[in-house]
Amino acid sequence: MWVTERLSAAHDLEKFSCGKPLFDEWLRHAALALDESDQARTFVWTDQGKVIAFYTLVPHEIRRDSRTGRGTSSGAVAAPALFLSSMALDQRLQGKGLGGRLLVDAIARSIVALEKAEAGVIVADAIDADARAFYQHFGFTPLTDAPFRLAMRARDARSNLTL
Amino acid sequence: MSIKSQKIEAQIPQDRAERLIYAAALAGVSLSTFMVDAAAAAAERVIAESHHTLVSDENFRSLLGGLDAPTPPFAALQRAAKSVAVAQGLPVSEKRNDVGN
Repeated sequence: MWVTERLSAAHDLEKFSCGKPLFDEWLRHAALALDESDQARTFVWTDQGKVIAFYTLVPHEIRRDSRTGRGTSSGAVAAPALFLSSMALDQRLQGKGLGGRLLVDAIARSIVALEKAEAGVIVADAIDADARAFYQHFGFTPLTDAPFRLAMRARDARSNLTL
Repeated sequence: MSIKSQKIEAQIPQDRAERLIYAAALAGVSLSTFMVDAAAAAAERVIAESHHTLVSDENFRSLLGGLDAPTPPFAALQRAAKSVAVAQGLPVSEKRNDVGN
């Protein structure tokens, strides 16, 4: 049994290795500072104090490029969003279907945060083609303007989680 | 009060290093300053992009429009949600996730 906790200085990050050095470095050297300055929230799964999985959520906004199209009937130009900027499992946990469970954790938390926003959006950044396929498998749609950035409407996420 | 600093090393190909040294000389700054300033500017751009996503009208409409339209079933997401057993009882903040078995 693992517990989801907000990242804190008490967590042991030294052994975390997800196979992507960029994410390992981010978790060890940047995530806590950005959390403390309220720029991002990182949540971790722990096993006896050792971090074995994490994801980071950043306040975000979807903006309509005013140079394109005719706009929505409501005249909206922006939608509130949460940005799932990184998410990774320790290598020891990979290949066991746990990535989907970690994503559900991240999406569930995003839904709660976006609860008041009727038109909220969850945005994810894929680090490579595999990650992109992963997010698509779970229902995210790539944005045509930025193919490694994908989106899911919070209301769609909500109706798929509350069965 | 001293300002903390961090030493960062980078391995780069010879030809690229020569271009950087040349560019730094043209800019009239040290190689170190040139690289750090350029990286910092790039970092700010990337960070700004993490704060918002600019999308075409078409993308924007599909994300905002059709709020009454039926929600597509995301079968894999639904399966994953069931396996975590968070589907009942959102919000899930600080909830124990039964993922260890």
